[in-house]
Parts: sequence; C-alpha cells; structure tokens
Amino acid sequence: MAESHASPTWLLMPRWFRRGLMIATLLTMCSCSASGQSLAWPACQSCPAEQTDQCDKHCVCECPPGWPVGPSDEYLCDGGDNASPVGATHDNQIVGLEQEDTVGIYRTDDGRTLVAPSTRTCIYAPRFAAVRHVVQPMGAQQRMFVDEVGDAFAAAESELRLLPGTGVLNTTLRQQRGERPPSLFRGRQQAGAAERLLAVAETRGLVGPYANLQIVHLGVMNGQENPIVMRHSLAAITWTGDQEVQVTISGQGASAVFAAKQPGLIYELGVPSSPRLRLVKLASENEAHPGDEVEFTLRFDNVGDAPIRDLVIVDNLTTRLEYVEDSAKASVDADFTTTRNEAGSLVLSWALKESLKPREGGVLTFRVRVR
Amino acid sequence: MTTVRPLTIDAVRRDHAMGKLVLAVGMLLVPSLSLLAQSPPTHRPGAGAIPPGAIGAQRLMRGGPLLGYTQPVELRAPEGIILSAVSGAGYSTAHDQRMLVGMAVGCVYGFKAVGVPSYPEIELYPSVELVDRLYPPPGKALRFPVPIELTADDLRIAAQGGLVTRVIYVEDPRTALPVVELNGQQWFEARTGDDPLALADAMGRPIAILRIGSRLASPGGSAFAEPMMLAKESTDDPRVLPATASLP
Repeated sequence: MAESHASPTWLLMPRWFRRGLMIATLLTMCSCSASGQSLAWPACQSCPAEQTDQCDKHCVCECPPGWPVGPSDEYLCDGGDNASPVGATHDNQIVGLEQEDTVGIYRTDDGRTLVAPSTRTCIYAPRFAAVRHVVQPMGAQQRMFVDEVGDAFAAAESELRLLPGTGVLNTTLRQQRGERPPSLFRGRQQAGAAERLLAVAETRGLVGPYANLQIVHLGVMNGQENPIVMRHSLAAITWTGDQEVQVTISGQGASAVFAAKQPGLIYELGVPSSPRLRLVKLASENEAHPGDEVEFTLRFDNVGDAPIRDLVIVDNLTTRLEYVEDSAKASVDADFTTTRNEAGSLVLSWALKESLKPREGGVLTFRVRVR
Repeated sequence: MTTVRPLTIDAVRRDHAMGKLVLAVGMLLVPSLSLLAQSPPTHRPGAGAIPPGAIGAQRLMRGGPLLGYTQPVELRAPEGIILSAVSGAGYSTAHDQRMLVGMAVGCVYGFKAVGVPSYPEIELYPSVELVDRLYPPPGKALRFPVPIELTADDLRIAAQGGLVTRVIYVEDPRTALPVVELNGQQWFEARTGDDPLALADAMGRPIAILRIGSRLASPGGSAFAEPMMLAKESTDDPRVLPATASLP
C-alpha cells in the first residue's frame, strides 16, 4: 500500500476527478462562451443587426459564404422592430418605437390592434471621426525658430520594421443569382393573389427604377426578381445565402421569420378572418457616402383575408439619416406627419385614411440624406 | 509496550481532498474565464502612449481576418500641402492634397508633408499606423477608403514643435451625432492626460493612428513600411501599382 502511494502516479488526480475534469473541459470547449472563441473577434458581427438575437441564441450566425467577418458598425440599417417590441395602447399611443424601427399598426374587425414590422434595409455607409491629442514637448518654452535649436528629435520611434511585399485584396464571389428556382415563390402565392386591385398606373412615376418590380407595383413576388429585391432590400449584406426569403415575410416576430429557410411561412393562413400586413422595404443604394441621398420604398400589402383598419406605418430614422423635406409620396390617401425623436432624427408616419381590403396594397417612398 | 505506527493518512481520503481542492480552484476560475470571454475587443488603457506599431501588433494577436488584407487609406491634406510616401527605398511620387495607398494592419507607414503655410522650410514626417480594417461589400473597398485628414491646424502645431496624435475611428451608427459632416471629418480634443485611444474606443472602433511631429524620415534609425499606391476607382478590384521610388 505504501509503495503504491510512493509511485509517480500518486501525483495525478484521482481517477474520478480526472474523468470529471475531462468532461468539464469538453463542455467548456463546446459551449458558446468558450474563452477561445470569444477572445477572437465575435463570429458574426458583420451580419445585419437583426440577426443579433440569433447570435445570442445559437452562437453561430449565418454569414454569406466568403464574406469577411467583422463588426456591423459600418452599416446604416433601417426597418424592422429591434430591441424592445413596438406596441400600441388603447388610445393609439405607440410605445417601444426605437431608432431604426419601421412598423405598421392596424386594427382588425374584431377590435384587435396588431403591429407588423417591415423588412430591414442596410446600407454600407461608414462614417469616421477622430480624437486629437496634442503634446507640446517644450512646454512653456515654445520654440520660435525651429532650425536654431537643431530640431532633430523624433517624436516617436517605429517599432515594426517590416517591409511588406506586394499583394492583392482577397476577392470573393459577389453574389449568387438564381439560387432558388423562379417558381418557388409563385407556387406559394395565395389564391387570388394575382387579382390585385392596385393598377400599375397608380404607382407609375412614384417608384424609382430600382424599385420597378412586381413586388412593388402589384405586391406579387416574382422569383425572377429575387436577386434584385435581395440587393435593394438587404442592400449590402444579404445578397447571397438563404436570406432572400425575408422579403416575403409578413412581420410576425422579425427575427424568427428571418431565421426560417422556408419561404412559405407567411402563407400559412389557417385562421379565418385574420388580417396580416406585409411590409417590404427597399433602398435605392447599396452604399453611400455622407451627403449622398438614398430613396426608400415601402411596399405594404394586406396578405390576410380580412380588412385592415386604421393602418399607421411608422419609420423611426436612425440619427445618421436626415429626411429630405417634401420627398414623401404615397400611392394611397394618407396623412403624412413627421415628429422629432429623442435622438434628434425624425419619425415618419403615414396614417391611411381608408381601410385596406384583403389583397390590396400600396407604395410609400421617401428620400433621406446620409449625414 | 509502546506501539509505533507510521503517520499516514488514508490514501483515498487524501485523493478526495486533493480532488476537491483542485475542483474548488477550477470553479473559481470558471467565472473569470467567462468574464474574459465577454470582454469587448478594446484597447488597454494607456495604449495610446506606447510606441507606434505596438498597438497594431496587439490587434493582430487578438485574431480576425487581418493578415494579408490590404486596407485602402486616403490621406487628405489642405491645399498647398505636398504628400509623398517614405520607405527605406526613398520617397514615392509627390501627391497634391490627396493620396490613396494600401496598408496592412500592424505596420507603420511614413509620409512626408511639405508646404505648411507660414513654415515653408519645415518638412514634416507624419506616420500612420493601421490598427484595424474595414469590411466593405466585395469590390467596394476602393470606394470606401479610411480617410485620414492632416488638417492645417495639426500641421501648424507640428511645425511649431508639438506632437499631434489623431486616432481615427468608425463611428457607432447607434450613437453617432445627428449632425451633417460639412467641413471634413468630425473630431474632438482629448484633454491633457486622457488616452486618445481609450476615448476612441468608447466612441467607436479605432482604425488608424496618425502621428504628426517627427522631423526625420527615419526616426531613431528605423524604417517605415512601404505603402502600396492604389489606383482610384478604376475597376472593381484595386489595381496595385508599384510605388515610384526615388532616392532622397
């Protein structure tokens, strides 16, 4: 017995502890909060901000293939319902409306008030600023003539002495067009979807060339337009991958729908007399510099089978987007108002004067200037 | 009769005691690991005062898709300022006011600026250290270079003997000021004793550090890295041109 304790194996932990340690190590390495993963740059910050919830829940975000991973602070996003959900009180006061939120609020026949967020549009528009720090090495004895004091000091010394060779930027595939068959969305349209009451002529001249799409004119999703809608809907971010389905959603929990890979989710209208609002937001530009103007187009549709009453569509602009005066247009009769939010940008609001019947829709456009 | 017994502890109990001790230490370490994992990728306080090149090197050690990437950077100077890149091989072609170059994270690049108003005889050698990169959509890198502005005020202070440090950062769009960028890049002054890098960390994501004050092309005998001269907006892919070097 004494000999066994004197052997080197005595220094090791007991067997039960060693096994426990191995299991604990494995669990730690596989968990989302493993230090090895988090010490590096977070795995999915370059994804649009609406995927933040998914990142928290699933640890892995579905970034487009070949996309460099980085932070999302270079994108200006607008649309959707972020952070705290938007709601409406009985006296029609909107609560929970934050920056970048775009929602439609409407009333059903049975008196319910529902909120539907729009799709989210992101523009690549980084803005830079600087912090300046000045040090005067001579203090109060400021030199008047630099050359006279033999000005040969170096303010700082370079530590790295590498001479880099030539190289080229890593280039990746720009996008994947036609990833899904064109008939995929067509087959999922509800019956009668083609019988739109909104004529093309009503929106002629309202929408820009970038939004000259069936989804905007008629509210009908055409599979052939998928790449174009993708480009303008989630401008710079979701050209590729499986995320084109988000242009077909009806806002019912934006994050949950964005995660779904089945584009038919919106059309599960099993409950009778259930109005559902679909908001699709498109941007005219994928990227912008400060001072550039970007036009947004909001296509709204009643994709349910009951009329929508007292529809109010609200867009709370982020601070770096400045509304261009008198640029708001609407294809339907609506009261347009602007109010200033606590961050200094504007909240745009359209209140439709008439109820929206099933399979009816309309178009709202406005322009903003990137600050 | 006295019985002499060896002073031993039961082996099983000793193992268990050791195991519990190590387990307790491990459990104490687990929360600290999680805290470490949640720490944001910011720079340490005081990092703004360490020598050029060290901050970028620390950033490289934190990982990410940085190695091998060439970040377009545009140097902007007021009218009358002539800029040229400095390397061990000499000076590049002189540029008036604007200069588009490619840089790598972690390297320090030297430039020469002449023509400071009221100080025509002064030659300044500002240096730029890239500490992070941008992530533009593919093919758009040249449309969105990192703008580094050498203002007339900064150049005048440097010509008078001061050392100007500018930390250029990407603004967080959720906390950006709702003001229009009219006369160049927005900036604010760090107070004496403040760490500009820590301030920039709080306001956004630091990308580059500009230091103006050196009067030597090779301070301390060191050499700057040689930036790549980039063509502006010619194609989707940046066309890399060899730097035209001439002896000083």
